[in-house]
Amino acid sequence: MAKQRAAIVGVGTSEFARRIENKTLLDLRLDAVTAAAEDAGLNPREIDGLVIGEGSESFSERYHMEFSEILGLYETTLCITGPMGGSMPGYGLELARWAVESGRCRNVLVVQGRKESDAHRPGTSAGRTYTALHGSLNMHYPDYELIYGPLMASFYALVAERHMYEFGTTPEQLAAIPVAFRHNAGLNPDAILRDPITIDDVLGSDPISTPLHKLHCCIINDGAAAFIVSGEAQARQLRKKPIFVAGSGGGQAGYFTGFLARGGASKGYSLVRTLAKRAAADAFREAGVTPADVDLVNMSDSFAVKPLVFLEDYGFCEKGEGGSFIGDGSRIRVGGELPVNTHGGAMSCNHAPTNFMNYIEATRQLRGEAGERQVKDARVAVAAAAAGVLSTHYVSVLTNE
Amino acid sequence: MGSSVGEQDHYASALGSQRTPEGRLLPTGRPQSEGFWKSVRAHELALQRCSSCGAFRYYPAPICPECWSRDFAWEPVSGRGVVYSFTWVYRPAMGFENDVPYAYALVELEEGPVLPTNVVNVGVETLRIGLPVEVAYLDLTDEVTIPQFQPAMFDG
Repeated sequence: MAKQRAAIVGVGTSEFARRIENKTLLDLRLDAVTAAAEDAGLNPREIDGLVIGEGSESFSERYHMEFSEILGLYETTLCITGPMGGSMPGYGLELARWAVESGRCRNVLVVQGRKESDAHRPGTSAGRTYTALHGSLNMHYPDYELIYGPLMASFYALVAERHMYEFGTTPEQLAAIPVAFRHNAGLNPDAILRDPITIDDVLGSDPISTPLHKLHCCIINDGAAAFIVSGEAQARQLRKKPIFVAGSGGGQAGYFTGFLARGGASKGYSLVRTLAKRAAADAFREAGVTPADVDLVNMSDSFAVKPLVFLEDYGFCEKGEGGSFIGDGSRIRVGGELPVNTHGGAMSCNHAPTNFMNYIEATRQLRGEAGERQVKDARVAVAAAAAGVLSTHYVSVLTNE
Repeated sequence: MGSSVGEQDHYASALGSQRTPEGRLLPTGRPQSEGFWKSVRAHELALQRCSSCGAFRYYPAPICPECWSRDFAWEPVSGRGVVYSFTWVYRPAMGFENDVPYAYALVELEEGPVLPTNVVNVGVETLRIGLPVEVAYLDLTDEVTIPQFQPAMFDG
């Protein structure tokens, strides 16, 4: 079968809140899935591929088998649980596009959800679901990292400190990132945190793991999201304007911070030079575009240092110039030269389900559905996902043409 | 952190780990790391060195990531290095409540490998990237010792 272009044809989410008491994780995922099918105008019986992220009430590493049954998907020619953490939407989109481009599937559902609030419910089965997931993934290395008491924020703090050391990045430049994204969140009625903040607010918030303060860190929340990917011929028969995958790239570069710091040196990697560079280069090459052609970027930002490093790695500025590129943050706000995380990102909109909103927001922007935060005449968007302390990265170039 | 003890204990068991009476995680002793922990217990840090290409590696693993040789020896190292990056932790992990702020760091050894660790006997005003450091040993229990680092020539 001739290769055809892949498109995102439907997107949907559950509600997002720091804690959603009255719904299970399954409820939230079903809310997202049904919203995505409705958005696409697609008969659920037409879905023949499923990619679902890890974590479920049943603890199963093969949750796709159960979830596909629940949805009545009796013939899925792609069906997998992807334990990819924050990379799940990027990895899911890769699998989905390969499946529809090759003709293996017609419509692939990619879904993830998390009840991150369960991490704070000691002794409950929900809390055990959450902690067992993270424990069994061995994240991070108990013997060689966790015995020294790092927080999740600490791993990213090491990156930030090193970036400041190598390139002279200032605390104010790092703080400008969450300030800009909060501005964007103020334009998004679905964002959890919408009140404006200042650079002084960020630097005056509680220190967590230097140089990161509380306002450099993402929200912990509950929620789910889904998107549906179809081939072009099918996509053009559905309700919404198809958003095409023009190019993509991604993969994995180690994981252990001791390895990231040095082990990949022969390939040019370090704590502040990540696989995002390769992922973006592959995506731009396939799409036939350059960073100058990009109208907006929605990327992983669970901690504020990530956009700093990734904007450099993607090629929007030279390595080391991220701090001055971001400046006071006006460039990366909606209305700026390069709007980034137009929905508000993980520090203001929502964290769970990690990085899915980057793809959903890019789709809405390219359809012209983004309301007050709409980027005018948006044609080309970068949507990206990252996981494992800058070790895993996926970049997609999306377009409405 | 008292309210989260139950959750944290489950976390430890999910990791296959146990805790000290103060609540700090203990190493699990992953397969084929015995030589490493034995050297640390003796306060004579040793790392695996590939018998084929000569590369040191950390963490312990059964194959050389550079040349895929399975042959190696546990070789004593200098214990000297420099701080590659660091962070002062203000919201403590369980068992570190009395140490706030404490320094979590990456130390690049003279022999090459980079070790996540704590830097101790150092103040906020002194710790910096590039600071020369040397290995120190913390006896967590009667059986278990872990390596950490302190400023080189520390005269404690």
